[in-house]
Amino acid sequence: MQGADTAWILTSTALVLFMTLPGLALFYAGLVRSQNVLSVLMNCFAIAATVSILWFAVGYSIAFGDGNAWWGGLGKSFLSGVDIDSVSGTIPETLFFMFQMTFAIITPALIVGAYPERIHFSFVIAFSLVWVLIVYAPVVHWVWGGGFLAEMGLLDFAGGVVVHVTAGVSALVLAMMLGPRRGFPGEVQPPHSPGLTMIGAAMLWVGWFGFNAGSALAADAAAGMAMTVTHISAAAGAIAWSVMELIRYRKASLIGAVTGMVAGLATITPASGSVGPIGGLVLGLAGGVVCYMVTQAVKQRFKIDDSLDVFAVHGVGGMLGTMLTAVFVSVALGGNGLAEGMTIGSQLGVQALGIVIVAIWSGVLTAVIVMVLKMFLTFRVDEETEVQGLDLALHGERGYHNM
Amino acid sequence: MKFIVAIIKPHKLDDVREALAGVGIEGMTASEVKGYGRQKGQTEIYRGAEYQVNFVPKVKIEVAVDDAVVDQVVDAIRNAANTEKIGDGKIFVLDLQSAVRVRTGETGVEAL
Repeated sequence: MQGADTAWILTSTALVLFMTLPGLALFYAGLVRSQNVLSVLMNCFAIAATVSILWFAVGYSIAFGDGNAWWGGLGKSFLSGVDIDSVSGTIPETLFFMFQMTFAIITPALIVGAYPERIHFSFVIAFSLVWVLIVYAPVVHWVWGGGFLAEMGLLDFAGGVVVHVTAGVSALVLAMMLGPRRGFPGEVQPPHSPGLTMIGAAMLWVGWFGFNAGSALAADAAAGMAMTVTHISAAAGAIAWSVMELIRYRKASLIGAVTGMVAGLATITPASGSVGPIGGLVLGLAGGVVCYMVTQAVKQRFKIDDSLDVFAVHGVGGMLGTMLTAVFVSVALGGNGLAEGMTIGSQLGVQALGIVIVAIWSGVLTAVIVMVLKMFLTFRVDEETEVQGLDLALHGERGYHNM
Repeated sequence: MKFIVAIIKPHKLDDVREALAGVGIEGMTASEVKGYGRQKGQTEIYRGAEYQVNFVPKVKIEVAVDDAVVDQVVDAIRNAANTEKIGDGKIFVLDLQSAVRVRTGETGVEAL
């Protein structure tokens, strides 16, 4: 057990939890109508609390147990066999469990962006728990728990596939099955608090250092480089998106800038252990531009109300970054170098296969989960509730008291 | 007595307040409202999506006055609130049936 590594991963764990509470929570809260602000905050908070227990019970075991190439088994349920002295690499296993827990929390929390302002709260919790159990935890095992995608040589340092593709694709499917918000697309209300969104985004930028640099699982050179490329990509993403808006509307908006930043961060996530600073710059710019265009396409061309653009920003950003990893990992472009026996072409193939497998897994299972849960739980609230706002109707609270 | 309701641009509130003080009006009520007339709404952009916002923020002022000063008050408001652009607002004069001061019970013009 190494003290420096342990100290850094302790810090990273706190940073990544901070990304959800309150980073992502505030980011999303500012984007919805004022009468739904509490429901979004509550979704994120409740997911954090409930997924924590699920992860402790079986999630960690499915992901990191000693099973086979497909799933980790239940051997580590309730941290059985793991005690204060257990070690994972150079850090305590309890800490590795915790670090991974914060990823297991934020991934279903990302999906909140697909369904706000119209989904029923009990459905949110039930869906998130089942989703973590049968979609997320197995994928973690495949990519990080020694499963078959790891054996194939898939490069996903901090979760481009594990977090962003799973959440992004699932969000898209869920949004399609749930149906759009009332008034979509022509008469949707604008974000009620762009300032709140920026505050949340700022917390995400800082927290992402724990997400990516922490994925080095050590206080070392890899962490330093991961932090560097992460930061450059965030900045580049923000600039790229803002430039797109300047070209199109002659105005750069705050919400656009912070969304571009998130796009850059989502794109660099899988690559943060492989690429160098130039790669970070390219991925950030690419993420900002591509995600901007996909955001428009999903909402305007395909008319899918993935309300807070989870697929366009996280899903597409994650996919783009995962593919570009295969290119910018090469030493010639400043990366760490391709794995033994791989070429850019063969690595691209592995990356693509990983994306496709995980995307199909996520999409199909999300549809199944929704269809099954719909039989027992209210899926979408009625029209009157939707107009009134979920805060009062589902939680008995007002976010703002005006009179 | 008359009750004057004026819809003005929000940034003109202070100018109107000062102008009213200048003609001896020491009290009024102001509220934030939304409205539109010939000044249509505007397009706001969030995250690359355009939102057509039809209602524009305005301020509504309400003040009760003695018949004798109605014209002065209306002129004062109009001159202070005017920017010579569409969206400057409107002033309405209504008949006021009665007025009562809560603290003392005074009625009529003494209550203004």
